[in-house]
Amino acid sequence: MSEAPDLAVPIAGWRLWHLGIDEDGPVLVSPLRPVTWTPRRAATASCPTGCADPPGWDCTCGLYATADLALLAGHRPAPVVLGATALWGRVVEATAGWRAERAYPLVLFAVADDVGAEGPGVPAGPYAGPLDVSLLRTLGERYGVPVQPLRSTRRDPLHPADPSVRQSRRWRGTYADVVADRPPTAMRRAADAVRHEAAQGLGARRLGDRAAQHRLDEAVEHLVAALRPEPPPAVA
Amino acid sequence: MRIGEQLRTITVEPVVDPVPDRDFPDRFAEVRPRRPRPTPRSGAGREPARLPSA
Repeated sequence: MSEAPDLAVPIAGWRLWHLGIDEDGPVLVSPLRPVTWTPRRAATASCPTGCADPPGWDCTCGLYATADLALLAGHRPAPVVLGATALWGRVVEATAGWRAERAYPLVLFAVADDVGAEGPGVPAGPYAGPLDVSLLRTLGERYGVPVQPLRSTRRDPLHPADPSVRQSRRWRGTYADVVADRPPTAMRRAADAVRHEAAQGLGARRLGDRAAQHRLDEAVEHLVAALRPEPPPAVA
Repeated sequence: MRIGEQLRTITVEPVVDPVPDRDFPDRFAEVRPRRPRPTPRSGAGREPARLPSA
């Protein structure tokens, strides 16, 4: 007989991914180790040093996620996909996050500079194609989770003064730029609401509860609004 | 990724599998309309069922 679980609902935490590509389309790739998160299959932790049951208490292995969105801001190299991920199995709880045995994304946010159109952008990370609306749609369909586009606050840093260059050579922003200078309280509150609803409403959404789906959509909208770049100051 | 100081190890067994298996319903479940509650007069005028003859 197995030990009684401590929780019957997955933990939800924030983490980042690079965007990769395989023969069927876009995939999520861990930023530190080049491990692909297979669509429709739980990611399972493995230990490079050979822990018997990853994540080990005396090790650093496991699938990482944080409770606080702001902790991801300084991540380098800059991944382009942010998401709330479900964590379950054996989980090492820490003061600001978790290391887990199993994980699967619940809701994704893709950082792009030109997500409003189906046009090309300049790639960043392992994926070498354009990051546009159709690609994000395919990503969401493959993983069976909602994907929300986010806008970066920066433009092409090489040619900030030339609008024609800005149009033709778009620079894909990073998540670090998106969260930079956001009001921390509003962002944290919105991010916590998404994390909470993504995990707690999982069962209801799976059963087709529209109210639960609406609650998650609303929480996601609030977070996107909290992360939206401030409009540039009006020039007199 | 920095997650702070380790506190404890817990076991999480979700009742609902977080991995979707193309099981999000495109069409919501249909519930049959509720049958009217029987009243003392709802059987009036109806031929009573015959008892099996011995």
